[in-house]
Amino acid sequence: MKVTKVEAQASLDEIEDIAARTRRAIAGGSCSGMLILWGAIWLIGFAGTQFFPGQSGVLWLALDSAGFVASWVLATRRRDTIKSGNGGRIGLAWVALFVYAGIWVFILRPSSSNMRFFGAYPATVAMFGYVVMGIWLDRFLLYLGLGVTASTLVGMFLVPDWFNLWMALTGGGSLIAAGFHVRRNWN
Amino acid sequence: MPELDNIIHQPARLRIMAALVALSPEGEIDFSTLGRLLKLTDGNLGAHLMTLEEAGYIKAEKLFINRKPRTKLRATHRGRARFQDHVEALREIIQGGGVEE
Repeated sequence: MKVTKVEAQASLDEIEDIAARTRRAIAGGSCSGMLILWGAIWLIGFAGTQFFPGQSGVLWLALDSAGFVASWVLATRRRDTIKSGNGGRIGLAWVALFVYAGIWVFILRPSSSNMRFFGAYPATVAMFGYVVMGIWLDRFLLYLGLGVTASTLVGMFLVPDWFNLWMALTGGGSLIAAGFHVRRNWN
Repeated sequence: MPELDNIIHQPARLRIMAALVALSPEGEIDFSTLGRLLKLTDGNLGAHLMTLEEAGYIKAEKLFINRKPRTKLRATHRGRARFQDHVEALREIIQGGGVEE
């Protein structure tokens, strides 16, 4: 068997490409639906909070409840056609998420007296989840998590009066756009 | 010293092994999902899987789920080891700038 340097490099590139596609296929089954679902929830929830602050508590309770039920349906409807076998790694990701959530709540100190921080906290914790997934699965999710976290912090400090609308458009919009990107490119 | 593997070096089989090794040792993938992922026809995929299974590089488990036949595939330890050797051999060719015969 004769293999030149160019052919060897082409083979290694092919291997890397297939490995990346396989990792994306593991997550792609329900990832796009989740992104679009939670993007829509953020869009409605934050926009509603901006324009109807008095009803924001009920609105978020209804949206989050519907979101968790819909997420469960999405996760269970997915056909079990590919198993990563990375249960340990997924468990570690959850541990990292809880550790981050604990440290971040200490730094951000969200409270009902500071509605911007109160809104930013769950959004940035969710985005840390995307950062962790992105490290393993695909850089796209890593950049999405970092980008929306940065956008949230920018909105908190630069447009405090319009923070919720800012989150609806940048956070919700980014998640929806990312969901369609994943649907088109990962399957 | 790692050596190129004649069975794995064939382009379609290289892609199949790359996909299966990307899963952890406990991971598995459906025949149809793998075919879609690699853009291979059922016939082509089946023929290459048979070669890999005969070499002991993969394990195919046929079962029925909701009365529908499903074939689940995973790389064996031997297949993983041979694939890693093959990748190392490719890297050595690049680093050495030579041609392996």
